Amino acid sequence: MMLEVRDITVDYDGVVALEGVSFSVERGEVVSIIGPNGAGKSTILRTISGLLRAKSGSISFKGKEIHNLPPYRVVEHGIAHTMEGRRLFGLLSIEKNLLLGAYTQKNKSSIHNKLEEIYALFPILKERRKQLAQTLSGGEQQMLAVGRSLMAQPDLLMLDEPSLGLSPVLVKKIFETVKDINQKGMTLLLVEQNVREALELCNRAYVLQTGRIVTQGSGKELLSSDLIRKAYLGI
Amino acid sequence: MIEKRTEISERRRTMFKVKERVFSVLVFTVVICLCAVSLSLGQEKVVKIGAIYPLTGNLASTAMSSKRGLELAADIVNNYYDLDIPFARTKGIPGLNGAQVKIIIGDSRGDPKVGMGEAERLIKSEGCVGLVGAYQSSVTKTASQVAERYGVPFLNSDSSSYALTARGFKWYFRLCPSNETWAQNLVSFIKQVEKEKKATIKTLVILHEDTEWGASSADMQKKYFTQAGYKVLDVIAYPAGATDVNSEVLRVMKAKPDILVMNNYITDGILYTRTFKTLNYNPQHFLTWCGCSEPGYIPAVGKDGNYFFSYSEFAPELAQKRAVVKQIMELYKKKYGENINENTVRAIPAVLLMVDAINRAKSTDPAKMHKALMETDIPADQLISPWAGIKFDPKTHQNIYARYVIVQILNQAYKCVWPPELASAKYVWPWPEWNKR
Amino acid sequence: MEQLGKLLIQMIISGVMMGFVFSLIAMGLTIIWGVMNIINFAHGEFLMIGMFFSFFFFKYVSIDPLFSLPMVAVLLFIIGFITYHLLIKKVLQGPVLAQLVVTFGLSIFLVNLAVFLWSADYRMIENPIASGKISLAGIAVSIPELVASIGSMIIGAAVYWFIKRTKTGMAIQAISMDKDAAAIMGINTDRLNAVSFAVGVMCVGVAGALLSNFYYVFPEVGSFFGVIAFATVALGGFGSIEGAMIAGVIVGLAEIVGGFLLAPAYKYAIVFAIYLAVVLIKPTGLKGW
Ligand SMILES: Nc1ncnc2c1ncn2[C@@H]1O[C@H](COP(=O)(O)OP(=O)(O)O)[C@@H](O)[C@H]1O
Ligand SMILES: [Mg+2]
Repeated sequence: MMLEVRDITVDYDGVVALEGVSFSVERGEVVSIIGPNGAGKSTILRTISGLLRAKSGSISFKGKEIHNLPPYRVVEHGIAHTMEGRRLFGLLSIEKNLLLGAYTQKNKSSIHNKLEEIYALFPILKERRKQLAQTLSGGEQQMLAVGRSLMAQPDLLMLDEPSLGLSPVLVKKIFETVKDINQKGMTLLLVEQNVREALELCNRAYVLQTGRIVTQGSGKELLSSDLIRKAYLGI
Repeated sequence: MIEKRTEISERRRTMFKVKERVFSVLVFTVVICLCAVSLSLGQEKVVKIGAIYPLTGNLASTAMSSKRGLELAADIVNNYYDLDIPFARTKGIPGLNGAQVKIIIGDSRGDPKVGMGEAERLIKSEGCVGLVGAYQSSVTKTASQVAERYGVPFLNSDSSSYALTARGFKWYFRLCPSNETWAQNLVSFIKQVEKEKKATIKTLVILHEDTEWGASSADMQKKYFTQAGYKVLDVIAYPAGATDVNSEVLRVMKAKPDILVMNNYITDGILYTRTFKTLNYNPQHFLTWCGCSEPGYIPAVGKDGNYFFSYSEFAPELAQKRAVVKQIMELYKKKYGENINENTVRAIPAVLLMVDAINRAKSTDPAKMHKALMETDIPADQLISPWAGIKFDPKTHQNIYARYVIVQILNQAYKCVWPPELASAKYVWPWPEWNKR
Repeated sequence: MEQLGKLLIQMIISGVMMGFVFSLIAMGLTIIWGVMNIINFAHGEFLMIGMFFSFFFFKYVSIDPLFSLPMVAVLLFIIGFITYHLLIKKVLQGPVLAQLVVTFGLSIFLVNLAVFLWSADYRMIENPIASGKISLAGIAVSIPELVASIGSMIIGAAVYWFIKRTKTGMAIQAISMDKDAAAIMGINTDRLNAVSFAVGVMCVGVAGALLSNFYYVFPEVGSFFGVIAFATVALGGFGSIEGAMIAGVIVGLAEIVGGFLLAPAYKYAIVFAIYLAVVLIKPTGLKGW
């Protein structure tokens, strides 16, 4: 098991956001977490990356406990997190954003190679690499956010609503990219509200409601389950 | 069984430890309280005098000197000293069964509002029978309003704003001269210079920091110089906390006056000295007020301070004429290891007069103290200040015998040059140019 | 007319020279604000400490302020670093009020400590290497002021380079734009906060050391420069380093030229008026984020 989250409880100043959440991700998998707004999806990712502390429970990654580490140590263990809303460094150039993604990397030539790899994946970023990140369009910003995470050369990439606020065409494109990244060997933990696309893409998925996991299964199983069809797909 | 007992006693012991600690703290507290009570019972009645000074803020070093003056005055009253000054050879206040004097100091931080609050506290919470202070005229103004409201005497020996006595307060008395006195003294001095040095002095510029003190001093100077037939080319106000005074000096240079009359504190005084030198500004002379007389000024500027005229309310030269001045200077030097300075001298008479009034009134009753203050007539030989005595104008309560002396910095020391009867050195006029020293 | 022209040139030179010193002071303040969102009310007091250190090096070990400058810089960096760990760090997560109170309290504490340790007296470094003046065609340039402005420019440029061109500087910029995003890039935000605070304190301390060549040293000196620093940072835009640099020069010029042309009494009012004018057009200041 690459990532194992066991029975975590998280609160914001006493207001419970997650209660006894457990799940796991295996190497090479795409695992989705779906659920309505405010269910606690982002909270899960923030807890894994160390931005939040779980009140109880544990998180292990590649066999090591990581739930007590500060964010910068979690990155060193190989987890990259693309936060909801991109969270780019708007007043820095695209290239500097990407280089900051590689902050933990020491090897200059491997950073350079990775940069070229990202540019190959998103040619538009190369074209605009001297421009400030805030001048990019929504879709381009999302590419940059994903690219910046990949620069850390992680073993696990966590994506928080990568399709948020994008036009249908771009949503499709983002999902293609995600699939592409996975096929190149990246393990993915995907949080989405575009339930259908997410379920079609993933190997397994967990459904979160008000801080608890209410059901889980393979993407296909869930696509055909009544609960999902009624609540999320509107069928 | 034995084990059990040891266990119990062990536990007792730890319990006792806690109790013991609590108990000893209690005992300690009670003992301290008893000591305090017995001390205050054992002592004679204590008369509290409140003092308001800017202990923190940019006048802190000045206020430190004043504080020493207050301490020294209280010490002289409370203990036996062989000095030719009233209350030195007795312990406490004779007219009040030897009551001791205690000075309670409030920190105004140089802020009129804070000073007001402190005055309130000193009168209401501390029970002070009278107030002294408060150095800056702006603070004295508000603090004395509080004294006026509560009907307790406010004796002021170090604020010079003319406006303070113009208010006609019942409880406010000023021992020291005002900025009106200073303007008159300056004009007399310049007239004398014209005669003695055959100098042609026709124009002047007045430079002042923009608090009430500086502004009202400048008003008075403008009034008296104009009356005496001199032309005031410009009156320039500037912020008291300036970090740079280039624009001020350049404006003065543009106006080209014969003399520059300045009203400044020490910080800006140092800054001006540097800027005059850098820009090589040389009028016939500089007449400064206040800043150049602060104890920190000469150490800070060194030789560059030479030749500035300034004022003083203390003339060490008096030591040769009045025994008491010499005695106080020696006493101070012994106590604090440095020479007494003007700000210390200024703080002393207010406390001594308050004591004198209580002594004559044989009471701390405000009405009786007020009557005694109005009847004050102290001759010059009992004073350490260069005043001609203390007697209050019945309406304004300004000491009609108050006056300043004019000093010049020569060889990095203040030398009295006016009035002629106190002069100890010949003054240098005109100003020796910066480049030619 | 010719005289007025000369006076004007004189003023512009003096104004720009003081301006560079203001820039350096403001840079320190704006870095601290930008990175930690903390208003460092004790900024002026660190200036005071820098001045006192220079003075003591001169007085007790006879090292000229110019040569003790690197040592003062290092000492202030260390003091900033320690201050961060002892105080600032503790309140960063806390309520805004605590953040205001802590630096405000620190400023009062430092002033009183200085009065206690060193007394409230005014001190001046007499005859430092940087003294005297250069006179050219009736225009006087004070050498200590010139040295202070060139020194401020050099240090300011070095700090600018550090923030804009080094990896650590880039990380500091990242934190100032988005703390959480920076953290998940692998940036140790706590350590870089400490570095930023220390750099900010070092900037103002160096400015103090440079000022000590011609400005008097006393415990309350910080409040004078502190106020100007706040106005400068506000004018330049909170958190903007370029803004602080430009605004420093504007403030220096406004103070002197404005003071001369209008009235010295209003020279700080003029600075404030310029600030208001800029804010009306661009609420975030000249270069605000
Ligand atoms: N910073 C915060 N402070 C307090 N409550 C928060 C904060 N962030 C999220 N919450 C609350 O926690 C719950 C889960 O939020 P979140 O994880 O963002 O949900 P999701 O990502 O599933 O939309 C919500 O009720 C939300 O209001
Ligand atoms: Mg979310």
